[in-house]
Amino acid sequence: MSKEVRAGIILLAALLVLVRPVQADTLALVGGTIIDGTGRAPLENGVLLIRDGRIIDIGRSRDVKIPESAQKLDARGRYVIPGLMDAVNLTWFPMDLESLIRYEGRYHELFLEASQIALKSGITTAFAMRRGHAAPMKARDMINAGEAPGARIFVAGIAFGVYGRFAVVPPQFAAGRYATPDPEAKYLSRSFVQRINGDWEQGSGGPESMGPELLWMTPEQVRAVVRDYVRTQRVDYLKYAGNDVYEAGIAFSPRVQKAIVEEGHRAGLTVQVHTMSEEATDLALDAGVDILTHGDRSGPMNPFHEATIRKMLERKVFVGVLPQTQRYLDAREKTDSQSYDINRFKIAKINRGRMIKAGVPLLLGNEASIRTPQQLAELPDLPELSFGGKLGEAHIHALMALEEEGMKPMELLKTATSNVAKAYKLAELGTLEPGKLADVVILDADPLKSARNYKQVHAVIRDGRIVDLNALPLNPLITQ
Amino acid sequence: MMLPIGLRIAAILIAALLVIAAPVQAQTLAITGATMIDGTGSAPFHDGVLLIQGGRIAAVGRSAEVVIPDSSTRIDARGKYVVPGLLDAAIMLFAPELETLIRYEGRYHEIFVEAAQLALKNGQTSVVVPWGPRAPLVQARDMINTGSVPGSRIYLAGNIIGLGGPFSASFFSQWNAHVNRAFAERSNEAWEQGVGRNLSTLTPEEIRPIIKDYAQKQVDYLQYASSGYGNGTENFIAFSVAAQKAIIEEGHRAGIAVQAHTMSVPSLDLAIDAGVDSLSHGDISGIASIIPPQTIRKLVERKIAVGISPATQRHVDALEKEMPGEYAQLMRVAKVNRRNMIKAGVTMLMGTQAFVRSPAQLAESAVAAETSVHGPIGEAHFYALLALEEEGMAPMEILRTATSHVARAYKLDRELGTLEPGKLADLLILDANPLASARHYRRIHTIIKNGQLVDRDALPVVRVFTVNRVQARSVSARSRLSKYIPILP
Repeated sequence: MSKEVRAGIILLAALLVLVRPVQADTLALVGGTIIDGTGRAPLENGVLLIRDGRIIDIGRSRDVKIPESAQKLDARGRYVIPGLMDAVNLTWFPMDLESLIRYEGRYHELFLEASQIALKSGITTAFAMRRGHAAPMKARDMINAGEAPGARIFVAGIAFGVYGRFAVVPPQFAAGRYATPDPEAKYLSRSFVQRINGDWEQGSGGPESMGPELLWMTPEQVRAVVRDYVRTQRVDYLKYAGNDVYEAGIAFSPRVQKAIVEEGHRAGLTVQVHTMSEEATDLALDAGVDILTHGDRSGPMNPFHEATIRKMLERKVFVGVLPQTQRYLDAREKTDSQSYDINRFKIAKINRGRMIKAGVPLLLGNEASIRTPQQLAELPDLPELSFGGKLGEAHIHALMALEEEGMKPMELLKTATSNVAKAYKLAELGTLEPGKLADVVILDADPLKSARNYKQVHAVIRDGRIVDLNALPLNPLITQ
Repeated sequence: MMLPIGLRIAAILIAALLVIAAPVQAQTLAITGATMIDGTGSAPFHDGVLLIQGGRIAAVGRSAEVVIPDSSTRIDARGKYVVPGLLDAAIMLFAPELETLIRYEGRYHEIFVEAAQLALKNGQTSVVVPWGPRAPLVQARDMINTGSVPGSRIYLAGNIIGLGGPFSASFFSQWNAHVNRAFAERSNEAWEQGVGRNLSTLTPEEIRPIIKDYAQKQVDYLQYASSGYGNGTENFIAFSVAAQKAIIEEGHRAGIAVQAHTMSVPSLDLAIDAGVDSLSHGDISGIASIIPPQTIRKLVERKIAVGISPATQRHVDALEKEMPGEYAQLMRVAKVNRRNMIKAGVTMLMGTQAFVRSPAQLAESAVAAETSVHGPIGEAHFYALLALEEEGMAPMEILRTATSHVARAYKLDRELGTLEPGKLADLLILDANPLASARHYRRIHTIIKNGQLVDRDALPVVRVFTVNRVQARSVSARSRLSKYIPILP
């Protein structure tokens, strides 16, 4: 290597060190309209001070003293809100056969890539469900340790109950489902399928043991399984199946559901439930769950009855939703009016409208994922895709859907921030208040005017640091 | 990037050392005292001497007749048998399985090299690859030919002209539901190389220039589809006789051999009429009918070499028992065809269609006994040789079917296939007489390729596909749950 090249590298390294954000000092967001996510009225010409990763002060310009050494970020004419929290993000990356094979051993990088794309769009916290154990946990730990940028990830691991495919994903991999031969596994080596299942099912056993077997066990036996699971696995919350994944069959008896919820709570974890029908929703509410993962779903036949919605309010549950705009549903109905799904979606929209009216606290979800350019091209060409859509823009469409369903602008923000933090008992997140972790989004346009304005991301601050949005995702494996 | 001067000098020094350490070409290697079976069909002779110089056979004869230079390195082969290195007339190298195609995309050449090393390790000094992605095959072939890695010589056809790639209707279109379209298309293109299924819709004159181009693409011979692959729905005749003639003529004009892929008697007859040089697996005639005597007579008269993939009776019986169905039936019919062709004196070429197997594949596949066809590389050809013996082929003809006949059929006989002066020094020294029993081909004492001793223990040097992956626990749900459910039996 020539001297010139070496000198160049040293210079470059020095430059890189220099341009990193200075950590020790205070960061001041100055002059913006602060909407703190508590529901309080917006604060115009506000100042928000951040030090050591936390919010230390917040108020009107004249009330807050900005230290002279502070790094100032001019937010005049802009809107300062808490970082968005995506409450239902089941599909972190396309679990197609090809990606599973091609990226074996590197799944955590896909989680990192997804969390970086989420962060870039203003989502500072996301919740990974299903999709294996080791990979989301490794990504979570790397992000928490500061080894990689990305949205905070909280991991549920497996979902208890139903047959293995619920935990295995893609569903076809589960060998146990009514002993139906697995259509994809026949093209694969058994050992590969075992490796995948092993990863997805780590800790509590293989797909079978979290599947039908669990349904045959007594409440006390299931309790022991869950207790061991939370003791041995570093999960952040628990999830179990109220229904089968796609069908309406009820998974666990009320007694077993109570046992699961109790064991979660005993370990200090929130417990949520996957439901697809009104009856399953009702049973889960009786069992004392904290969250309904997608509680806007009551099946393809009937919307929720008033009594169920009243019960949601009484039991103070938080209800995750997967909102879809009318424009999307109309377009979808044109292309596939006969499908079972379209009725479920239409009824879910009625349910959300009723829950919004009744004041049920909702949590924004969209089950979006990252995809290869090819997979994106193959998505149906429908407008405003949210549920199952493209990570980074699906949540905007979901917010637009809630807006058209009658949710008030301030409630909309809470649905994507403080409600989520409360539901998951994450006291350090969700609002802009002194003492909280400094996860902040600065928007160029007023989110209270239009849900579309959540798209106008000017800056993202996570853990008190300004995120270099242009650099994300750092090492894309599948999105480029 | 420029290296510092010190490093540059070191690099030059190392290169110089490597050159010095390489075997001195001028030197002679002498194999003495062996029974020579030269693969031409001439009778074996005892107490023979074979001299190797510069990678080629310099002389071969009785010890009384051959003068061994004083400076020669000698291999004492008294009591042993020297035969030409074995050739595989049709080997797959790796199985085009979905998982493999995805996992190793961009690294196929490494698996090809690995497979070629396993073949070499077991006495196959040259292998002919009838179907595969051209570019990585060429890459593997050239890596081996330039000596940058050890391995069996690879000769390749690339695509079967007229058939599609692995994700096309010619083969495994059912896979398409599970992969990105881009990957499937990329893969098909890697195989098809412009001579895919569309060709069968063209006239002979339209086909000609396409074949002419393809023959220039570093392929060693041409193989075209007289019939489809034969996967149930694809049993059609692919090309008319006129179109087949055009393909054959263009191949010959380019100086390379032309082979036909046939899966049925009608497609076989058409290929014969078109004047093809050889058939890729002419022992296969479907599940219903054997090859009629008049067709076999034509094969003899026209001197068409017939590629075969022999299987032992034990294997065919096991197939019928363990996986009864069309494949077992196909194999049973093929065995009858081979017996008839052997009787009639058809020139045959032994191929195995063998694959390299991963440890997982070896552990998981339900392999019937003595698998030769599509068997594991390194094993398959030994069973194929046994099968030929059992089907009534004379010992000397068995040797030629796995050596000189193959070389001639692919127009490689100027360099390969026999132990004659001037040929490349690819040979095996066996501990037991292969003419006494086909089992003795396993008794390999020494392998010499290109005049150099092969370090068999070191092979395969490239390990991509044969490495063990970490296995997941495979504890049954039942045993995992038993601690929660004490009464579980």
